[in-house]
Amino acid sequence: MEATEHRSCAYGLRHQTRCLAAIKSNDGKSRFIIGTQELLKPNEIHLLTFDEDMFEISATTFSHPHEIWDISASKEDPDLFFTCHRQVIDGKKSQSTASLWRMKQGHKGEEYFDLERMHQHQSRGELELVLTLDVGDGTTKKVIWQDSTEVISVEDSRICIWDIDIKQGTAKRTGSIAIPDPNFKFSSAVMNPHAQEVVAVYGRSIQGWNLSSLKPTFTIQDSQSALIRCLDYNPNKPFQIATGGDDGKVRIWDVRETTTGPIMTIQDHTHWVWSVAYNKFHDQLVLTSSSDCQVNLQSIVSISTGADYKYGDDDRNEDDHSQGEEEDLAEIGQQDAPTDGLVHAFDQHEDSVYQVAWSSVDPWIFMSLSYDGRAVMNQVPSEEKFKIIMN
Amino acid sequence: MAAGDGPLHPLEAPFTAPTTHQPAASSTTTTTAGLASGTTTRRRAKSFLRNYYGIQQADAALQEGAREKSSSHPGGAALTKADPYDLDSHAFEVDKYMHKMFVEKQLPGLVQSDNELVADIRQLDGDMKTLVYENYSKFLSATDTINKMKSNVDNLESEMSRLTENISKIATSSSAIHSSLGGKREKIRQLNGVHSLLTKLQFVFELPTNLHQCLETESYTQAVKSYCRTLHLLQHYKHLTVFTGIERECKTIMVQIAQKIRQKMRAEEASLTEISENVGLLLALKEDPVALWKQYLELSLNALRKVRTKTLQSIESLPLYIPPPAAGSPGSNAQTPVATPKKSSKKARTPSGGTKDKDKDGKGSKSASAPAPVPADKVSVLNAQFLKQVEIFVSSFRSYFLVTTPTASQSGVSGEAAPSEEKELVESSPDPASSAPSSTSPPAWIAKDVARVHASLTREQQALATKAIKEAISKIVSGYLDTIRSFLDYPDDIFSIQPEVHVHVLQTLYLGTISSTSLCQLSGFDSLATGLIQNWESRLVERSLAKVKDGLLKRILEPGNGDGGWTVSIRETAQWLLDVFKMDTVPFLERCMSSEAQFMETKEGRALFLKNFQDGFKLFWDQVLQEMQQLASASSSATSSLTASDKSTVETLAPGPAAAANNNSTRTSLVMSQLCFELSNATVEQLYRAVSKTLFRPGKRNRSGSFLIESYEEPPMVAQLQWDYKNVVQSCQETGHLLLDGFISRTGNELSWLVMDIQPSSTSLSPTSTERVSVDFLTLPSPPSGVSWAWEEVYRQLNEIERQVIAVYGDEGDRAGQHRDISSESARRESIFKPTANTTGGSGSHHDGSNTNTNNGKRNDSLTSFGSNTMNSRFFESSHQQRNLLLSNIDKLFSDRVEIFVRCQDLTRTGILFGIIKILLKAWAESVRTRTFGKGGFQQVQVDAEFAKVWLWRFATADERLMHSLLEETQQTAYRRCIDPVPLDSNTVESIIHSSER
Repeated sequence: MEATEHRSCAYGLRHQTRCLAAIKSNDGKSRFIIGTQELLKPNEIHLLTFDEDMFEISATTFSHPHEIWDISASKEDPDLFFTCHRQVIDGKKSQSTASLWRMKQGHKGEEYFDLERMHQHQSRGELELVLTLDVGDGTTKKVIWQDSTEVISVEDSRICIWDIDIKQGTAKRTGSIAIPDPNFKFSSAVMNPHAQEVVAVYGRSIQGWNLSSLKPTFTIQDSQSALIRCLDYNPNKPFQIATGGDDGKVRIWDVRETTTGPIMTIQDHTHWVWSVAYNKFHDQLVLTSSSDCQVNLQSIVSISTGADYKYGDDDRNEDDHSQGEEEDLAEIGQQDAPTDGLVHAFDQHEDSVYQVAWSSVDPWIFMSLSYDGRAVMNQVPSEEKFKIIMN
Repeated sequence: MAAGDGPLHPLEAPFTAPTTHQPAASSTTTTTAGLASGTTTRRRAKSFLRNYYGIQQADAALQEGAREKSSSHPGGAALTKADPYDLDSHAFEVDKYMHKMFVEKQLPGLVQSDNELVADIRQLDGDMKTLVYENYSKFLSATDTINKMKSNVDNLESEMSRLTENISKIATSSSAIHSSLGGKREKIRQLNGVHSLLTKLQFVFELPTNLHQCLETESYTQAVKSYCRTLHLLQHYKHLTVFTGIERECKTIMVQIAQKIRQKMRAEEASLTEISENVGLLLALKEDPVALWKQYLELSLNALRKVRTKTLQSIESLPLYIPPPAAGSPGSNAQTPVATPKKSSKKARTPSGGTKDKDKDGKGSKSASAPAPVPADKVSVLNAQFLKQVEIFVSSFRSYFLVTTPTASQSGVSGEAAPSEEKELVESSPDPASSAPSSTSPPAWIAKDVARVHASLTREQQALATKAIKEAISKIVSGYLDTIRSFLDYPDDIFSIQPEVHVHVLQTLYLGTISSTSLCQLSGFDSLATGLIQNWESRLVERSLAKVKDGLLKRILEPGNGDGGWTVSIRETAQWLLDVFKMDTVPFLERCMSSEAQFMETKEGRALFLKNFQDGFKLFWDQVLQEMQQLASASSSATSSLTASDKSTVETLAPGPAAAANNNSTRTSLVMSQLCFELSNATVEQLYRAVSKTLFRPGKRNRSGSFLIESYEEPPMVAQLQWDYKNVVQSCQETGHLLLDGFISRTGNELSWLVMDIQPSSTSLSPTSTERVSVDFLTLPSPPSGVSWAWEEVYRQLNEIERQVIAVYGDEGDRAGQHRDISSESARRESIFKPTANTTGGSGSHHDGSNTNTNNGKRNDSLTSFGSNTMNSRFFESSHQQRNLLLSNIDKLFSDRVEIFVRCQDLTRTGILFGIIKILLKAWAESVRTRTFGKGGFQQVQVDAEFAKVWLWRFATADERLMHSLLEETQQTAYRRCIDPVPLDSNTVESIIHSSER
């Protein structure tokens, strides 16, 4: 199931999948975890490791008790991640809970029951349950890591803040935020990487709360005619967020300007936008995925930090690989400056793409996951890469 | 001679032969001498004749050619060129001719040709004789003339000699007189000099007395004049005690006079003319010019202010515009009761006089006489009383202080060179003085001696003065223009403006501008005035178009006259727009343009006006489209403040005012989109053509109403409008699409919320929202009792939307039966239902075919088909399910990518509704994926999907396959998301749907 077509690498899970997360890596390899969503079948967690030299993906599989709706990996420990999983109790009530798991990798090359996957580097491991966030109404849909001791869970109608102790395996709720409009549900939330703030979307509105005071910091009410489905916070530029909604549009907001509307509106999708992700290193690159089966790589250079600092982009230097590349490319000479607009539309998926994630180590690698269980690893097109590096 | 001709002879011979008409002689060989003499005379005669007829040259040339030829091919080549058989040719050879004759012709023929020849010869002879006679008579008269001349010349000589003699006599006597009178003349000249000196001296000695007298009689002008005239004399003879005394005396008097003058100048009631005059006097007395100009400026400004207030008061009661007497309306007379009696008398004097004549009359008498109200309009009075004063002030100020005239050196007051920047002013300075009417210009002597009385200011002082007056003047001018502006009101109903009034006001302004040259030069008065006119034009255009725009938007917003009328009413609106332009706007503007206004008479003025209009027109479209979009977005937010369910129920059950407004707002964007398309299709073009044909018509305008006379041969649109026109059409299209897509996605989203079980509302006012609880698909009873509430509602709303769409966009007519026609509807439904079931079955079997090792008992296990009751078993092998998943994935691989929110290209009912359906079904498919179903929930989805298939079919005629595949996918998803998937068989589903039949 592995394929390399125009520098992309696909991996098939044979399960319905919805959630994907990039995990921290210590050895410079891009890693992602994927949770499956099968109501009646055993569910799995797949840990995918991308080997750049071989240009292939190797996977480690873990069993997971329930269908997984969301997954979020720790920013510090590569083995820790939360899943939000749902189960039906007595055929009457479905309940979602969030659990923290630790991956325990088994030995490599262990034979899996499926003969078709023999050629792949396939191994199995086991999950160790660290703790469970004990939530009352059982509608937890998302967990966000603040740091290794504090996480935030998003439910249909409230957001809870937890203090967790990983060693002890305990979690304590320290505060909660109720939804301002009971007619809607929280659809997503994100941490402000620049401040103690959580930003959540519900219905057509965006709102931020201060984490310590639990007071609202800003509200953009009824920002658009359609529902908002996802959001991301610009990792390098404070006050800038991106949202995707049911009208297929991606909007970039300045949260200080709550009344003037978005600073940019991008419409390249023809159905709901399910996921939006800023590139951590170059925030002019924004990935969006949609149920029109497309993944779009957008450039918003005109409103990114790249526009502020024409030359120095120090973030990139963290990465040895791109540094080396940069030296190679220096001989090529000056490229055209990057411009706003769609950089590339990736259409390797056949079903709705519910999640995209950038690699945590390589600024040019990302993965997208569609409902039919197809995970595709792609790279930023080299022309765009050159443009960004050269400028 | 003969010897000279000799060498030519052999060649000449053939020429001579025919004219001699002696064939015998030429044919026989005679002696050379006799022949030579005979040919010589003959040749002479011939050459005369040839000269006379002017054929010398040609023949000579031919001879040359012939000679050359003959030298190379003797006798051969020449003959080929010139026909030897042609009698008239020079190459004629008698022998050959005769020979030919003899060979070719019989006797009668020969005789006949001989006769012909003889006749020809006679004819030629006669011609020659006539010629000779004619020339002979001329010669006779010439001889006479010569004789006469001879006798005359004899006479002339004697006369000439006498004349010379007389003249020399005169010269001698004249010189004698001159010498004798020489001495006396010198004396007379001296005496004359003495006399004038004495006169001057007397004047000087009498000066103090005179000045006294002047002081007493207050004729200061005279005093200053006299003083100035003698001043240089006194200065010159300063060393003489007598003169010093006089000078001193004069000076004391002059100081008094200056004092007096200053007093007079400062007096409250001093008019501007007096002030100017007095300043001139003071200047002549060499007062400090800097202080003077400051004072002058201050005083005049005061005076002007007074004049202004007075004028404004006096014109308050005056009308803005007096129509020509012929069209004199009683209304305007009633407006000015004060002026009426005078006016009538005026009218009597100039019964047929036009407005212009009257204005001039008014101006003339106005400035000359008291403020007696003569028939005049506000602006012309203002111009005459105020502007003219300003003009006078400015021009005298300039000539006093700012100008160094060329005559300056003569008067000796100032030797300062004129600054180069002032030079152009100097050149044109005589103009205002000479062109200004004498009655209003400064006193004659100032005008005359304007060169003499001007201040000797240094360059810096001058610059300072210029700056000060410029400031003052610009203030005055702006005040003036404000006044004018205040006359131009723009009422809400722009068409109620009488363009004549405005045009007249501006016209007067324009005339005023032209006549105030120095104002123009000093403060750019003309450009300010032009700016005002421009402003007026653009505001006129803008206002008139804004009115149309408001009307248009009002028409859009006002509730339509019910069902079916929308298409018509859109057409009507477009037509209305066209009519408004044809009937109101364009004729109105044409009227404005066509009046007698001179400022529009010029080419540039016209072009400017048209440019203004063009810009305004473009802006008009932009604004209309923009406002439409704003309206649409406003209405969308208004809609979103109400629940979708709320809206729909109120709409269908009891249309309250809020719901009606809401309903309208949704419809508005639909209507506006159609209007945009309508506009872009025809109306814009028509309008631009119309405008191009009328306002932009090249050549003579002024035929208002010509708009209505439409010629069928359309002239091409004016080039400058082409570009605009294309842009506007394009943006109309664009806006139409935007509005329509907005409508589609909004409606689609609202319907989606229904099936997604979302209530996007903060206010739960709706009665249904209480009875409607969010559905828990996990615990729904099995089998479902009917179609879910949401889908019933969707269906209801879709019908309503379809009604709106048809009302606006029209029914394309491919549907025979109306959707309200239940019987035909159900009939169709019946017919659809079965094929649908069959299709699913078919696809199932197709899958079976590709699936060779399937269990026999699960024939119809394809996930795409739930119609079969063999699906009851819930025990699916995982590999089997995998395969089915794979198959459906393969299906997807080969089906086209579905785009949900896309530009609706098919601007018909089908296209629009299909756009909505797509959004709805895809949203449903997505929302089903996020749910978990119990047995009943899954069956509910099955029932709903079947219901959708049956009832939404007719909304999705554009692409039925897409609808089916979306519905199948939804059911398939629901199946996988169900904890206990037990599909209903098709009969059950059908009966459930039937049970909930409306």
